[in-house]
Amino acid sequence: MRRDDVLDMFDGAREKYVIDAIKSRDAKPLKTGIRRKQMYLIAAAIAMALLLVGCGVVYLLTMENLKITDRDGVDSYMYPQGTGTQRILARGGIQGSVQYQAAKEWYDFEIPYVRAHDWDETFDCPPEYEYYQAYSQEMVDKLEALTEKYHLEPVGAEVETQSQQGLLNYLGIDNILLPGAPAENIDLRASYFEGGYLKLDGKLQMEAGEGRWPYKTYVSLAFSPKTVFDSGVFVLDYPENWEEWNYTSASGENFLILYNPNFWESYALCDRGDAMVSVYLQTAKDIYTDNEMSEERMNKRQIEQLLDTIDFSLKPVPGDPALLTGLPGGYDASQRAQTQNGYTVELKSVISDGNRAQAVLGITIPDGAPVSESDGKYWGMGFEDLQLICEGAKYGSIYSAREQDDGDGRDDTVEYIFTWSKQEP
Amino acid sequence: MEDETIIDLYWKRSEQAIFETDTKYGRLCYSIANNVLANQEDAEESVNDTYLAAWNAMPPHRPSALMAFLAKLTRRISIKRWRAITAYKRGGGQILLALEELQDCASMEPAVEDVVMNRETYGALNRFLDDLPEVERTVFMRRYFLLDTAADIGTNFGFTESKVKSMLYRTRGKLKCHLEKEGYL
Repeated sequence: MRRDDVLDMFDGAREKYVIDAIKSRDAKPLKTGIRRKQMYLIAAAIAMALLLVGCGVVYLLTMENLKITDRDGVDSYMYPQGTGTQRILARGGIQGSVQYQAAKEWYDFEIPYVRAHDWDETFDCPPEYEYYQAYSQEMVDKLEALTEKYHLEPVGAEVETQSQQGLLNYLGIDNILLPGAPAENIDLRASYFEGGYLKLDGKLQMEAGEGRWPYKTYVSLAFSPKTVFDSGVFVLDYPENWEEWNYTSASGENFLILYNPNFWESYALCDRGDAMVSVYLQTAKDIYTDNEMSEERMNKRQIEQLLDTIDFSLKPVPGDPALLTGLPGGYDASQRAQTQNGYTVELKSVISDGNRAQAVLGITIPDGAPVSESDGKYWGMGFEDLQLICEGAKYGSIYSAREQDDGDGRDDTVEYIFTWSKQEP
Repeated sequence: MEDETIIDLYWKRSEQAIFETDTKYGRLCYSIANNVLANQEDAEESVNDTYLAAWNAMPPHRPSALMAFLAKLTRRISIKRWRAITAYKRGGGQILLALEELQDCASMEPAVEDVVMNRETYGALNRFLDDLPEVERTVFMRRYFLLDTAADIGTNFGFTESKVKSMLYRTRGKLKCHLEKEGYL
């Protein structure tokens, strides 16, 4: 057995040992850390202070009034031997609201149900309930009962689009930033549902300035109208480590910030009256230099500065549906086909919105070769290395791929829609 | 998003699965890949390959611990990429150093390219790890699974770098004895 074999042998290490090793990366030496009991005391003091501040003041969002439950005995990679506690927060509304009650009731139903019932991939879920990942009629019935009971609409089916830019144009949204904000919104990507629920994902880069976070950071914004049943929750591991405070942004919006100095993400929630807007923010950055890795974490002020740039009054206003099917900023590729290893690949169309590029490839498959995407075999064709050069920009690293029926009725032909990310120069 | 939900997305063949995986575990996968490859571009490609491998594996696979599953995939893919790139002649990162250290518990005999043998060696390693004290085991896994540096490991445990190195040296010696005892060396 050579040293390479010993190295490879570690591939077979028990999962628990792998997880223990990963978890230990976040560990702090005991001699400098705060003991768990002290953490509880600090958390209790913060909670008490917030309660006192909250008395006699206008309504403020708090972790407590969003809390669905504290799950004890959590056995996950974050916790050893089932000793963990997770705090579950509703995203769609505060305690007492119908949105909160529906979310809590669904949560209380879903967790034991999913544990007790295997995923049924044969179940044909109605599109308006796919968002909830319902995989049985029983789950659909429960969702229907909840929406009826609380007079809420389901989130609805996801609106399909041919390009991200087309969807953003349809929604009347250019980015998530306030006009004139000292930041750039990069790689914006939207998911929009018929009930009005909107999720925007992308990166923010602040302009250089003293004390500002200098790196691109991932941000995700969810717009949840109070007319729909948003089952989304935030799950906080080690709830005693999370800090919370209310902040009024430069644009006058008041929101709750949840921050864990030992973690790499933060949340901000804003009750706008007509909708809840929540933001997920990545608050840590790994810095790699040669063989060394270090980490930088945002401080509280940097989080506030980033949130100051976000337009919390943002609202999707659906426009002309024709925008969803157009090819803004794109072009039809000239018909080209190439045969390699028996596979004939034809480039049918390419579109680009400047951040991502999407191409439809028509593929003719040789006899006996796998057809189904569910086998995942198309990667075996070598498509994972495909790159695309479109309007002078280079796209690589396939972001997503899906199969679609090309409508010709033949078993040996299929279309794939590949989406690439723009590569940094 | 919880792991079970992410796995469900894979099973539903939802592209969102890749996105959620990247959001939650992108940093972990990248750190493992970069420890092996010591090159940002190569590490990013390995992470992308990991996502594709996860996509191909689920379904039918349903990992009990998504984090460990992705960590193992990333490590395997990154080492494979490292071998392809360097052909053992050049390169950097922690893997070369780790390999030199692992010579302590290896022989010069060629590898046995047999799946059954691999499974047996996995069993041998786990029996060895089972008997180690928890801290020693975690330090050992940090170095030779995650390929973290002794300095980083020491930071987390409150040990000096030299203490970590000496602990690793001792554990490698124990592993060599264990493998000899079980007939692998």
